[in-house]
Amino acid sequence: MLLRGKKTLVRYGILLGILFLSACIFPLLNSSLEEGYRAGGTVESLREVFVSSGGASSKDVVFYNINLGFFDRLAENTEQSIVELEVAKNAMEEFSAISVSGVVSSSLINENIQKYNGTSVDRILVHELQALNYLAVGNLTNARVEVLQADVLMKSFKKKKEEPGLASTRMLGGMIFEFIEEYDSALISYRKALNILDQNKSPPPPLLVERMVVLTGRLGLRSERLALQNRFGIERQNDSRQKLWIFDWAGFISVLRASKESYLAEDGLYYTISLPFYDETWQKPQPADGVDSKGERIESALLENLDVRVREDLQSRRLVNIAKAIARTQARKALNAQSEESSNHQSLLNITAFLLDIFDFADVRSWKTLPSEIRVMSLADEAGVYKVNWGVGGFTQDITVNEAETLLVVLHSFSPNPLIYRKKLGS
Amino acid sequence: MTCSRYFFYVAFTFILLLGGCGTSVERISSDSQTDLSGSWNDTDSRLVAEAMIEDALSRPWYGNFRGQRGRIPSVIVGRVNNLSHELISTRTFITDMERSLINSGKVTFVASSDQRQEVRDERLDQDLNATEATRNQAGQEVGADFLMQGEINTIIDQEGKRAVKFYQVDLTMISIADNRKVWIGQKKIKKLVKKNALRF
Repeated sequence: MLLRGKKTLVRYGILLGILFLSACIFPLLNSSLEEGYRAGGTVESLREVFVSSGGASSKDVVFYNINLGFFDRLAENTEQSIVELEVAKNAMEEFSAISVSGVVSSSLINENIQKYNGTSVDRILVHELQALNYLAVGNLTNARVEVLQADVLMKSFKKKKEEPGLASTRMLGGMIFEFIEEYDSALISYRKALNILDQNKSPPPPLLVERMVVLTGRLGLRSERLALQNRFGIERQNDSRQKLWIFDWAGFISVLRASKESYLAEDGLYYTISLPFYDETWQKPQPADGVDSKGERIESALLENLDVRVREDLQSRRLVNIAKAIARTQARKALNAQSEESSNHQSLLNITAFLLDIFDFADVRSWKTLPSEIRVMSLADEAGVYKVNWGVGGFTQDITVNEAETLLVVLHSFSPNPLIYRKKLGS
Repeated sequence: MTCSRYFFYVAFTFILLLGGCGTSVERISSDSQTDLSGSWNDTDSRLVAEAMIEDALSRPWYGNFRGQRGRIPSVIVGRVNNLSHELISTRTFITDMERSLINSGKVTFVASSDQRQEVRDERLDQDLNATEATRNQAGQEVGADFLMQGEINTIIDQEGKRAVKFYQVDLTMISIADNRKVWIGQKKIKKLVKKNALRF
């Protein structure tokens, strides 16, 4: 009798534990940032909505801090953003180790139990965003450190692609090296950006080609310069003393959603499982534009299509997600079978299996504040005032380029505050 | 015990174990060697600074200067550039070098340019507000004979959970009188960092 009492206690304890965990496993509110913005939200108000929607638990430290870090970057709370992104980076590093308890728990309940570790795109972009933060506070040294850390990280992904990584991160890295006047390192970064674009079968933006032609000329790499000129049909150009480079973080990344799908498993049975997915189509963002020194209207050119990158990333994890979901369903099926065989506490096991079924949500956590595309353009080769237009809200700003100055300006679709970094460079 | 029951008991045990995990704090000696993440830390900064200053002060330039001038040289620590993959606080490293220089007793140590400006502002204030007896006059500064500056570089070689981190610290002693480089020092640190593939 005493032994049966102890067994009952343990089983009730397991049920209570599952119910306790269930409080942690509901997927976070998944509304689109674009919907919030178009409904009249500002950066500050959308930030508050995100904070109050949950995700501040230690389990979601990466999810929370990468999104909050982005909001704070746009709201020009740069020091706060630096802290948040540093927390996210350290957590991503720590969570890259497989969690035994997380695997055990998620194999029964759902993937939301596991700590969100960020996708490969997230892990690279956090360095890119942090580099921009350091530029915003004028710390070129630390921005350079972020570029180097991103380089180490992208090399570690080499097993999947010949030239892994993001072209936007490489191109920003090249620009940062140019600011430090390390022109050889800058050219290497630009080459890697071009390799990534060639791999993705995307045409390089004119600004990237221009920088490569200028730097190959500067470094005396005549054959490479001629090859670039022939390939892209451009003339040799000397570097102007004044430059205005614009990074256009355009649009809003698609929302990751959940759907129920049926799959045939090895045991010959069909299982209905919950999987994350992106919509097949998405709205193209409005690119930024401006008038260059010759009076011509220039539109930003595509450098990185993040909507495509995140879909590729999800697709690469699809088979694993399916296998995990089917394994969970099979575990619950075994539990149901157990409850039918056992005359003791059958209702308890039935309730447990029922709760596990309804709590099986797909993991739809993602970096929701990312843009849809990263685009670039160059406007100035003379000192002067240049008008730039961007964003869904029709933002516009006059940007002054002084003698011998190089400016890097970063725009975002729903922020009226561009990041402007300016430096006088040598000859 | 059937497989599914065993599975439940294991899961429940994990839940209880996780609940027992909290924050603990242990005070340790400030000069104890602690390596947590494999990144540049206070131990690296202190050991490199001590070793390089000791090397610098044992080289011929020191004896030559004393022989020619009949006094010990005055040194200032200038910029140390961080060219590494890590967010290294070069200020901490500079402070460690300054401490090693002063404690050696072999050099006179002069304030850096930032510190000098603050001192000059204070002197100007004294000129206006302090009594003649207590006032420190301008134009009495000791000029530095040598400037020490340098950089920290890294090479990272990473494969999966293992990484080899190679740090190279290069310092140069430059004569302020005639820009001659009188000493070049180098210190290397190599670390093998293995991260856990699993965590609980």
